[in-house]
Amino acid sequence: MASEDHEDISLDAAEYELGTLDELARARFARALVTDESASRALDFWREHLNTLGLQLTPVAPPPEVWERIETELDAESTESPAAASGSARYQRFRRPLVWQSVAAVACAAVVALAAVLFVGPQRASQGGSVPAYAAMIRDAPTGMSWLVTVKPHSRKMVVRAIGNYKVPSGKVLHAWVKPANGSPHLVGALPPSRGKYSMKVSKTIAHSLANNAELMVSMDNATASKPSQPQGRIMWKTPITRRTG
Amino acid sequence: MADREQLAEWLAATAEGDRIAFQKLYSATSSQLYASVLRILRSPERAQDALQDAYIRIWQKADTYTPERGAPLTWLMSIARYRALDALRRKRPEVAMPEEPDMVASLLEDEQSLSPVEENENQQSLDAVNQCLQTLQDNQRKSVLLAYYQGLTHQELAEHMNAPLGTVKSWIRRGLTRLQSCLAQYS
Repeated sequence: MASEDHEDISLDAAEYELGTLDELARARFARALVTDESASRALDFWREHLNTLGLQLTPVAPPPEVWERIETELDAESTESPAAASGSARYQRFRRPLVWQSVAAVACAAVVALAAVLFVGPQRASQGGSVPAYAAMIRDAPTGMSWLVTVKPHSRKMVVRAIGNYKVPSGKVLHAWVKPANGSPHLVGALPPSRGKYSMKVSKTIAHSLANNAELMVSMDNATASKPSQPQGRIMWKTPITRRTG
Repeated sequence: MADREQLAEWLAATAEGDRIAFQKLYSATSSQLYASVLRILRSPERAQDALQDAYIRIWQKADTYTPERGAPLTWLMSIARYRALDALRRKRPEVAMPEEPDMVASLLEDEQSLSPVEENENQQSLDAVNQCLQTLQDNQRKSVLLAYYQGLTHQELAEHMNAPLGTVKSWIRRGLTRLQSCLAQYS
């Protein structure tokens, strides 16, 4: 039975890559990709083999305009780095039900106490009634640990999703900072190192900084009773904060 | 064509936001990807749109590639094919390039349509796939190749091959099962 299931998954992966699955089956397999590692492995297998077929075609040079169009599009999105853009893609992934539920199941009170000042200045996007938000993704490449940070001013809330567990040395703490372009960093609070979803309020100063090509920085500082006014220890990660809508 | 390590290096640099590396990646791979999307969409204009979408996607997703998941070129090819299939499913072309009478057969038989093998870093996988395709029954092989190269759905394959839908589904499924068994021997 298990072997039949495995075969079905593999053949679904093959047809997913081939493009012959109908819409329903395609959606079902896409869901399996999120929860079932064997589906992901099967897809890698078929991706690798089936696409050698495409490599047998005689190459055809695209006209130069295509690259020019790509450059134009990248320039238009130049405020959004690949890391941040892929962070957006990850954000979509996190919204899939099974993953979302497992994240949401974790308590979210741990960091609230670290917030300094409530932000109460809702903003509205200029078009379509959509709501502006800001997002940043921190990823520690060696460990794969990631934090997705989103701020929705209208809800006055910053949400941190810690994807994994990061080992912080004893006596140390990770501090998150928002640093506006050409400005000094503002302390957001302690960055939670354990898997889960956390929410906190941000100060008005920090909220205003977000629109100013700000960066999210994380420092590793000595754990002390007082809040630091600037990073004391090593800067561990820096990433741009990008504006999103919706 | 750049080798596998070089492509992986450019992909990694692209993930860090290196536009020069991204341009090198594009220069080294776009002709291969364009050939594939052009086969599927059969309209240069639509194929160029799909290629543009594909590289924007590659720029955005470069950090999700890891060498353990396969060769960089097949990963890139997969993204380009998805873009082409999406475009194909949205709307069939009103004006298309003329369809070749038996394109798949010519692809397999015409040496001129194949890339020089010594340039291909994925040679081992390519040999395995070609060998294994020969173990499929004719209709199984033809339906798999038509689906891959032209992006045909089950229904379209049924019409193209003048066969009942269920039969075509079975050809595809059995063909892939056979292909999988054969490829497992090479892995």
